[in-house]
Amino acid sequence: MILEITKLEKKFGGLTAVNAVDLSVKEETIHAVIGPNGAGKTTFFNNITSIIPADSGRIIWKGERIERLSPQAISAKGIARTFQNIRLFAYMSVLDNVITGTHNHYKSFVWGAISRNARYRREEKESRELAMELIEKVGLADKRHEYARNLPYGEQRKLEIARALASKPKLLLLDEPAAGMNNAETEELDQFIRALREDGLTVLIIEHDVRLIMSIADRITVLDYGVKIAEGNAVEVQNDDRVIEAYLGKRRA
Amino acid sequence: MNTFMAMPLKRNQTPFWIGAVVLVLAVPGLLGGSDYLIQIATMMALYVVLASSLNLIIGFTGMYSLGHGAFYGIGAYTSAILAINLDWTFWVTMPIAGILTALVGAFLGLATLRLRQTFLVFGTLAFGEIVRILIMNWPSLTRGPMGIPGIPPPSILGFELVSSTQYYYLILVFAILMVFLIFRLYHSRVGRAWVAIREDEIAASSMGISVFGYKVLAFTIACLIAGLAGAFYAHFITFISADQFGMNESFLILTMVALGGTGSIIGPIIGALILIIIPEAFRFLAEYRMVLYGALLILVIVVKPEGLAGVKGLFAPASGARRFSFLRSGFSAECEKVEGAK
Amino acid sequence: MFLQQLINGIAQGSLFALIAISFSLVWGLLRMVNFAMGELYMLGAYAGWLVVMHVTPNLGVALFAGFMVGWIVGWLIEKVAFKAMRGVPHIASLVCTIGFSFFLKETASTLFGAETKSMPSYYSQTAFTIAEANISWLQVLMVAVAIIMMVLLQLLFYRTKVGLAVRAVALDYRTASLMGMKVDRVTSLAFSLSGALVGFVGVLAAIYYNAVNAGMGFVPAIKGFTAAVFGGITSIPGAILGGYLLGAIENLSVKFMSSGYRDFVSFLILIIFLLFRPNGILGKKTKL
Repeated sequence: MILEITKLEKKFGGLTAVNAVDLSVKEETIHAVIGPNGAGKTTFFNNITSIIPADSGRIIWKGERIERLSPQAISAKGIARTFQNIRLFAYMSVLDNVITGTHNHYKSFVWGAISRNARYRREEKESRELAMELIEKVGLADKRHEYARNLPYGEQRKLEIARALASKPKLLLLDEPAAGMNNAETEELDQFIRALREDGLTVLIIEHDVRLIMSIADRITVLDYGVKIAEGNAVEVQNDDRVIEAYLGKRRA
Repeated sequence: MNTFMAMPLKRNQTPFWIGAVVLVLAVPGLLGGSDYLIQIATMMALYVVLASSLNLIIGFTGMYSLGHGAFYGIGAYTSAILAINLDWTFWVTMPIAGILTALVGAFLGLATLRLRQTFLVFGTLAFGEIVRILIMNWPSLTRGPMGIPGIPPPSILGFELVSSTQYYYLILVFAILMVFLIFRLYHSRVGRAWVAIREDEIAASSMGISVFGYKVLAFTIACLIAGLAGAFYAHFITFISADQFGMNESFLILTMVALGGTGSIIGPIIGALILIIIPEAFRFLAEYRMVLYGALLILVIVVKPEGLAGVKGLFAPASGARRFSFLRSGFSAECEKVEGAK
Repeated sequence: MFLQQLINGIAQGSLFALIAISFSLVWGLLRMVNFAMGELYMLGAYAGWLVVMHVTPNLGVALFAGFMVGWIVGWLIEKVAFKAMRGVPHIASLVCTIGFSFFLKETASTLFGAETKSMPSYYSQTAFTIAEANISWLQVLMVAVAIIMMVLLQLLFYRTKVGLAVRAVALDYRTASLMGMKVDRVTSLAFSLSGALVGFVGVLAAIYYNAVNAGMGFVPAIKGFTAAVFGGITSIPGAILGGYLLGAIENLSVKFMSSGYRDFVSFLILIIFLLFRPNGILGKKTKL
């Protein structure tokens, strides 16, 4: 298990957004977290990446507790993410967005920037090459000098994934990557995520597109009202009574 | 947004900058050696530096400061006091002034940069006033309200720089160096981290950028440059007093950045040039100068929030957050909370 | 001597408290700061001065003039710096009001001249003497007016329909607007009211300090803001408490350090509270 979460809990006032959730993610798998709107999925991601630290519970990453670390420290550990409500650097070029993703891997600082010494030039070259590679992979090569804000929605999502990959993560958290994508794009995304797994990446994904999830996920965890109600592979989850109730039951139209 | 200066990174800007440098080098000749005009050109160069340094804070990193005049003043006073009391040469007092100002800036930054923006504005404003009050009430060091006269001019290899043309070149070299330095910082890993913070603090921290650290860094470097500019100013003008570095000064620098354009290299330069030229070109407007600045600032923010040559409407909303975004209380973390809780 | 300073402090504190209320009124509704508050104060003072010198020596009319000028200019600022810029991060509005601050100050200074105008004195006779400390009628009046204003505001907020609307908007802008409240009208009203309040205070201050000039607003405005942060900017009682405390502390501090450092104390309090207790003494413990 590469990531082990136990008894994770987060409250907002009287509302328990994440309620004693346990979750184990196996290396080089695609693990999906699904659930109705407001089930606490995004909060769960925010807890893992420390953007909103959890109130209690343990998060163990490769045998090391990380729940008290800052977001940037977690990024340095090799966990990258995308955001449900796209958080690109709007007034930065596509290329610069992705290069910024490589921040962790380089060291040159004020002096390097001013003197443009050998190390600085090597690092810039490397990061640029990596970024270009990723941009080509997501098919945005000819738009690399556009401002990120000028891209259509689907491409912004792709760019966000490229930016996250630029930090060479071991675990990638995708928060509704298919939202706003058309069928063709979703199909492309399906292939893309599978390829990531083949490259040795572990993917934790939140998604509403059930077809996509059932197609790619090795394991699925279902949250409802912050509580884990089911876990298993696609077939098991689809036949789980509590899942059916949560999605179709009287409580939610 | 379509100006070539506004494009990020790519495009080759070298010919433009070489042309600009040649032009400013020729200024004394073009002005026919008029002392008065050359002095104005010198002040322009100085304000180019000040506005560009404030742009590090405002335009690159997305923070605010109403205390920049005070940092400029700390640099000027430090250099002047050391030069007069200890008889040190300008080439020693100037770097000391810069470093001391940077230290003060770093200290203020460490203390205040976690404040929400509105409070940061007031915090830096209060700091600026405290500096002014200290200068006024510490006569044994600063001569209080009388100011410091007779600051010696710098000398190079034994030659004292006395003519205004010599001064112009001295400060011009300084200005070109500083703009070049800022330019290189901007187009580097450091500059990308700053802009990332300006664009989205949460995403920046998820990329492994230490948001607070880079904010303090930007603030410190901006103060360093303002302190150096203060030293150059003190030895150029030879008389300094507290009222030269008050709120009006901070406000003037802020207006230059807002008018010229935030977040680009060229913006603050344009702003500084315009705001120095206007009152001189329209002498009859001299007494309305500050009225004009105030009106300009209002107009620019309402009509063209990114300034004349800015990269980004500094004040433009982040993508997708137009309506009700003004209700956000400070950091987007809280929005996230609301979203998470919903 | 101590007592006299304290009394002066309380009188001055009334002015700070009223300015602080204006700040927290706008803050409570919009989470914004009107940087031009000091200039509304200054314009109010000029209005009062013009009335007294050229129209009628009646103090009530002068105060009303200050109130009205503050109202009108406050309304105007809201239209330009806030309403027209809706949807833009509010730091832009703040910088816009900084522009207003300079614009108004410099306009006044070119219109009326840079020199300080003197105001005729009102009610300067001693009302009481307690242990050698003199309290003038004017000081009594200032405290009384401040208290009356505060009571009126409380009544307005908690006993009227308009007040209910203001509180609803302050509590939750979105819901209030969905409920069909005229949110724009409410914010505009609160803004004008806050302007009117400082305009009114400007006239009082002009009489108290016997001086009117273009730069007079800057320091009191910062102190009013300090008082608001000091007491707790989210609550009106907090703002009042902050005003009186600040007035007292400032006047008593003169005993311990040279008077040149008088403003220093306020700025220091501002920075310290912003850093360590941004919710002030009475403010609710929400993250600001």
